[in-house]
Amino acid sequence: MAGVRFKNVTKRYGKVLAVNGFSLDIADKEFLVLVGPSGSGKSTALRLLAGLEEINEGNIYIGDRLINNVPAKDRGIAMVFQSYALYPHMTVFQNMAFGLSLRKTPKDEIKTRVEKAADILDITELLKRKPRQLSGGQRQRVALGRAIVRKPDVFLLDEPLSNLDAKLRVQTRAGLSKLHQRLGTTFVYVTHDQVEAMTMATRIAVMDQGIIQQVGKPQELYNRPDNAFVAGFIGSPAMNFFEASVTNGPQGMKLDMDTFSVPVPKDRLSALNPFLKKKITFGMRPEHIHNREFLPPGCEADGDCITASPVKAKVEVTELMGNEIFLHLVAGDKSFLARVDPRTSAKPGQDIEVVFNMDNMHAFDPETGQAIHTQKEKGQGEGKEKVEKSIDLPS
Amino acid sequence: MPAFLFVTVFLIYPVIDTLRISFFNRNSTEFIGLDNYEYVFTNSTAQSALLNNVLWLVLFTVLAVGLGLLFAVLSGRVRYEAMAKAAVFIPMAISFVAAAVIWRFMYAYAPEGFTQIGLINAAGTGVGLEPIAWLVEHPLPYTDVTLPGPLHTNNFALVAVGVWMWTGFAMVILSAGLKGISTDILEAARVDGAGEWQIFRRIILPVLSPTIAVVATTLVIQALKKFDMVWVMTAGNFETDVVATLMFKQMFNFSDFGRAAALAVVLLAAILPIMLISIRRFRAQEET
Amino acid sequence: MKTIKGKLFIGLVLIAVVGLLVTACPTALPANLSVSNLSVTPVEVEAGQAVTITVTASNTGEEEGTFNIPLEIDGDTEETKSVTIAADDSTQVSFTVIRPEGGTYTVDIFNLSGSFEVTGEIGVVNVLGVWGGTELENFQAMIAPWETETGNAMGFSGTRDLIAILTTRVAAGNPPDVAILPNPGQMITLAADGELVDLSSFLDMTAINAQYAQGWIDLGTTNPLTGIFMKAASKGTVWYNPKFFDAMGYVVPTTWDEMITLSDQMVADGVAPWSVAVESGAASGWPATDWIGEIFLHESGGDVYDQWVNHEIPWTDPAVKSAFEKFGQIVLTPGYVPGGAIGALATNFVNGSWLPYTDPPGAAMYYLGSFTEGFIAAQFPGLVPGEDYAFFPFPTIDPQFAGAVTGAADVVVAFNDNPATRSFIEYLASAEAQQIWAEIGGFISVNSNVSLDAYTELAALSAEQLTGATIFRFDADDQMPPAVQSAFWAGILEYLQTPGDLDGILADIEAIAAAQG
Ligand SMILES: Nc1ncnc2c1ncn2[C@@H]1O[C@H](COP(=O)(O)OP(=O)(O)O)[C@@H](O)[C@H]1O
Ligand SMILES: [Mg+2]
Repeated sequence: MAGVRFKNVTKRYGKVLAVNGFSLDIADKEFLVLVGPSGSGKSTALRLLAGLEEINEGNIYIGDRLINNVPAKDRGIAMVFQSYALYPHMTVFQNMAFGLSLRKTPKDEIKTRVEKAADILDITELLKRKPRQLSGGQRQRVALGRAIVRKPDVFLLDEPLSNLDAKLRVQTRAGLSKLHQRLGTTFVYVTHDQVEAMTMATRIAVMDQGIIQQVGKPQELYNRPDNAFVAGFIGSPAMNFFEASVTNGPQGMKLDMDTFSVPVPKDRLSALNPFLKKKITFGMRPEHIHNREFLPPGCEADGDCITASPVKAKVEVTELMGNEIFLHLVAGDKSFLARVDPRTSAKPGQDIEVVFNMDNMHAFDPETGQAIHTQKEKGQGEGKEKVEKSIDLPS
Repeated sequence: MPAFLFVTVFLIYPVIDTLRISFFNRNSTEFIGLDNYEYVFTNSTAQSALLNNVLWLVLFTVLAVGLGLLFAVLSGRVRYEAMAKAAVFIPMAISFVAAAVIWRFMYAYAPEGFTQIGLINAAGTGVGLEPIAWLVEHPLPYTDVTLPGPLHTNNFALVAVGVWMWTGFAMVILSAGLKGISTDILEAARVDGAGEWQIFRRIILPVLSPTIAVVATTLVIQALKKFDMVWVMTAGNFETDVVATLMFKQMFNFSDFGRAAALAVVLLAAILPIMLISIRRFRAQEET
Repeated sequence: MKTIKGKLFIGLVLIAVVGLLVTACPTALPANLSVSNLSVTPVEVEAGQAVTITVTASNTGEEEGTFNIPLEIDGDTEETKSVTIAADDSTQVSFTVIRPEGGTYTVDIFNLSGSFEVTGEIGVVNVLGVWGGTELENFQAMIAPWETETGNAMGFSGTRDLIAILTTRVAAGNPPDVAILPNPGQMITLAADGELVDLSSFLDMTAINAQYAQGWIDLGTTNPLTGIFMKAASKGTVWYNPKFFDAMGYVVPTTWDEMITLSDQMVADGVAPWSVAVESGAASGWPATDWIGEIFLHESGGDVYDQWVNHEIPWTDPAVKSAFEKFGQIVLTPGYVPGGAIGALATNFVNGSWLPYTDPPGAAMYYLGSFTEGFIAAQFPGLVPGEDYAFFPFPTIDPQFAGAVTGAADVVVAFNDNPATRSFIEYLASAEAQQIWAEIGGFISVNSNVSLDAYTELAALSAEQLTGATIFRFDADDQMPPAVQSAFWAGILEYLQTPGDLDGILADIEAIAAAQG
């Protein structure tokens, strides 16, 4: 049982900086998910931890031990590969027993440990089969089993679900979370799928271009993304971004998007003040844009919880999801997506009035992409009660 | 139907006819039963040829596969992989005659006190060793120890040329096989705690074994029908005959068709099961 | 139609006008040609032989003129000659014509005509032999005059696999016209099968008997005469370095015992007496079998030699064993041969010939046929034959066989009887032809009309030895059935490796020889 610490770790492949000044503390028993688009350096970071690649700069610790030069086999880790990497010439049992037999574990202990792991993963009947006689899901479980029997201090998983079909992926997600609780071991999990990150992680590290963009609990990342990249990456469907001018009018401070404008809530005034008469990037998640006819519970009246003025927009496309509807809207030259009440009946081509829940607005410096937080938000605080309530985790 | 006819005319008929001739005397005029087979298994020259073939079978195959595997593994790790591989593969690509010229030069011998033009003897005498007539002598080099049967220096020298020529083939095929092994499973084994040698022993070797079998089968058949190299280098003299060269001699030098046929039958009998096994293995592989 | 006719008409008119103008031009007494006295010689000729056609051309005009005189044969212009003749003069104009095919040909020169008759036909004489490279070039040089003279041509196929190819072609009914065989063995077989042409049927036998020693004629006679020998070579030649012998005070031995005494003395002087080299690829061993044959002939004589070659005595006969052992004495006596038996086995027969001529000599003597001269000359182009390198005749073992010599000669046989082949064989047998190659070198004729002056110093030595031989025998192993020859080669290699097994080795060869039936 151990935590993991990356300290300023850098890995280069020729001129490519695959991992750049990567620092991250992973607590013991944490389920940390490294998420980011493909090519962002997630796998490289994981492989550096596994000892499959050499570190160019910086240090990695497992527990208190500096492991930069410790060979993979002595790091107390087990890894599940995207391809599962089962040994094709060995049976499931042999696959799972391989690591133990290399460590000269007594035969009967191997047997009990493999059988126990098989039991947990429900693959007992498969023990005598060869990998090619297994389905994708079964292989995935064997790969997990092979990692489990080793009783590692840290579990490393590199996109273990990406070769499964959608339904199995959802099931396995739950299974993995359960397994994490059951084993009580540190998990470091790599995925490009933010849904997996959001659903399984105790903490998420978002990576882009070899650099950690933000680390935090799923809610924190969702509510207070540190920059436009994280804001756009976390959450599904992705946040809408508008280029907006901060103006002061008779009704107070506004975000002006030429064809329409929205008022700035009071608690943001001080944060946005420095940007008066300048441009900002204004972010609004689709779930915080409502059909004016069907406001969410507790927000029935204008000005109650919605600090907004209605925006007229034309419906371009509607996507019916059952419990909700995605509307692709255009207002002037701005298109954006809204996630609205399923009772909405607007058809493509029709006009509709929507309101922006400005309490959930996001603002970013257009040059740096950094979030423009209020004083309160900049602190370590948990954020506003109200906001947290409205979190609607994507599934 | 044409295929059947083709097989009959070009395969079955010659085999049956060879079998028939092997029971007849030298010019196929008289039935002599198993006399030719008695010759094959009791005559000292024939026995020595059979034993030499066994030596080829074992030593040539093991060394060519072993070195091929070694080069395949090592060449994957060096910087100039293509160049390293080409160097090992070139012997395979050049004509046998060119190879024979090269190796006769390598093995060339001059009596002690004379200038050694042979590379090996030049090096050997350079460090004070006596020159060795590599293609002639029987005792182990630089000793008076003469091992029995096929374990003669000149046989080893010939096998070495064979290995030199065929290692490239083994390497190329095995290297392709190695490339086909996903790096993931090697890394999985590393994480699982296997060292370099254990990865090789317990993962690479078993996963590669079908490829090794294919290469080994090819080489075994090569070894069994080995002719060119022996013929050009020693012409089977000095007890280096193998079954194929002896067969050739019986046929063309001694005009004994019966014995030549008997030798051919024995050769066929040795090759056939290997072919059948490899065909079956091939089929089994295709099915899965 | 009308317009074409019109144009034609205009054209004709134009021509007529121009013609009138030209003829109307005043030219007084122009050069004028007349021909007379057509002669065709000979009027009867063999195909390929030249026919000369001559005519007298006269200029009857008063000015010098140049005239074109066309020769027509069977109505087609064969050749046109241009002659310039002074006014009122005449000259002879001749043409040479060769016709490859038989028939009667008419000759026309202007108004004169004649004819000649050609008999037979020329063809290409197809020759099968083993030659290639320089040897073939020299042979072609020898044939060139015949080709020019007869208009015939030789087509030569050279192959190392002469016997196999010949056998196949004869069996297929497609033999060459002529084959040049490297030994008489195959000739005997082919003659017995009735495949060969009786050469005495057309050769001038008086001339042949005068030019060839009876021995050579006997060798070529299988009743009737089927082979003519040429390009002979002595194998009774021991190569040495005369200058080195002089410097060391060595005397050329004439008997085996003298040779052994000399060898021992050389060993005592720290000189290796012998170079022995028997490596020759798939044919390894043959140089040693030459040794054995030479020893055998000198020790047991021609009759026993024939019995051995014809397998009328077994290989286990003491005469055979003794010859092996005498050879063994040379190779196996410590100090005689550099590297001993292994050295002999591992050294190529060409390389072995160089040892007496290195500085200092690697060995003093080397036995191998007269062709060894070529190896030495190629390796040491600066050495003078006869002075720097020479051979002495293989020494006498039993005095009653003194002057015996083994050797080789190529024998010319014919499969097809036609004029061209006849003329080819006639030519080959002549001293005139053989002298050509003898002068180029690398060729010893057995035709005694070839002058010794045609040869180099060494070749003359050979020629002398061959013509003066009291007993001449063909190389023994070359005359044995191929199976026995192979066994002989392999046997001698085995003997050198395991001399103690001699009896067993001879018994093995005997078994193969006996099986040849
Ligand atoms: N072995 C390698 N050699 C060269 N470049 C590599 C290698 N592995 C990864 N990279 C590069 O490093 C960057 C990060 O890759 P990776 O860690 O695999 O990304 P991710 O897992 O986030 O998709 C990419 O640009 C990739 O092309
Ligand atoms: Mg990856």
